[in-house]
Amino acid sequence: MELCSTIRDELASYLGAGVKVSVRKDRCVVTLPFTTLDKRRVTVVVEQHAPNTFIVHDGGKTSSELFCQGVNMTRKKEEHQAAIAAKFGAHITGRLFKKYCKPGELQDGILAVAQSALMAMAELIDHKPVVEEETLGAKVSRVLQGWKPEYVRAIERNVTVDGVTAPHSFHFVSYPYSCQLQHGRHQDLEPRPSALAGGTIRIPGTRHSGRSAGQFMGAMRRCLARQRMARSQHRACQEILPSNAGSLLRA
Amino acid sequence: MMRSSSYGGNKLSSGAGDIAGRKVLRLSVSEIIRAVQSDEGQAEVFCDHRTVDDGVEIEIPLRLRIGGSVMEPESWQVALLMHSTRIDGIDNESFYFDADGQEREGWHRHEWNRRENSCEREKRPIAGLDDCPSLEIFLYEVFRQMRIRWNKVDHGTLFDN
Repeated sequence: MELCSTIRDELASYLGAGVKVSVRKDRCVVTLPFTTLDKRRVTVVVEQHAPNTFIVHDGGKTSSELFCQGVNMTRKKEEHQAAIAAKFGAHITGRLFKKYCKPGELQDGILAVAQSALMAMAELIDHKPVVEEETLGAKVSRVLQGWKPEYVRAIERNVTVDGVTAPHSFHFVSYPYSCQLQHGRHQDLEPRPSALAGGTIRIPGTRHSGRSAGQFMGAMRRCLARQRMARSQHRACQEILPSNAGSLLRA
Repeated sequence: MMRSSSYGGNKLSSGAGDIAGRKVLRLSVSEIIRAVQSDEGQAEVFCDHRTVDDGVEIEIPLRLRIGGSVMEPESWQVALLMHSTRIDGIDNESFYFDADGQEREGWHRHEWNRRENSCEREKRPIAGLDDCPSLEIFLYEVFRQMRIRWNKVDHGTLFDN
């Protein structure tokens, strides 16, 4: 049929016009007229591995795009992607969809990697925004600002001070108006993914004590109590701790 | 993946409710690069960004994600995410249509489109990133363009989960 051959010719010219090949350093970058779910054209890199062997890969673009668009790759998702690649005869190494090809197999290899990359982007369909809560530090900051009595000039967050050998960073520092009152420093209120996990709260006049992040509210209350005691001992300070400080901390 | 905790936002953003203001990371670029290298090209850094929404000062948790294969400069990209959604970023494509519908190639910035509530289609070409000799120089230039400040002091990488 004439219609069929017309469709064939037009499709071939459309696909041909959509294929772009550019040279970057010692390799070819092939852009295909196939669009991913995030409206990108699929790009495949071809480079010579050995005299008779080529490596075709996606340059890590698929993984990079998913990561930068907020998709968190779980082991299951990674296995799913590996299965997709295997179906097309490719594999995943170092977050690259990759296939080794002989010169006569290059077209198949390019299409295999491109199809793997296209299908891998399907992760975006299930990706939904996740509203994240304010961090612990932000909540504590709000409580401290709500509590701030008149003798405190400012409570600043994330303060780095120079030490003798290294700088020290504090999550919160309170600056009193009177120089006779000590500065309050609260350090490492939040858990860290480290061997040194567990926060440390430094209270003026006490030894350093390592505490878990779960205990920090209790430590905060004790810190407030110590400051209240210090304030009552100080003649310059007349006001008392606001009666709602406890409810602020529990909020 | 190494997840580097970082806090910022000592300065308020310039405009109410916008993320275009200055973001502050408490990590040095060297620490970020080590994170990228240790995990085959991906790193995530957190920063809290203070802004004003409806007259109320709030702190928004932002994530800065750096993706791409270390050995493939064309795959490098940086994105700023809020609530797991990209709100700003710099990326490279060998073929794309910019915000004005023109055919382009190369580095571009994903700018936030308030009408569409997305930055996926608002692509603006940017200069200065072609032939970056190293990831470090790339990150310095990207951070400059995205108004991200970093810590100049490299404290070394202590933790590597």
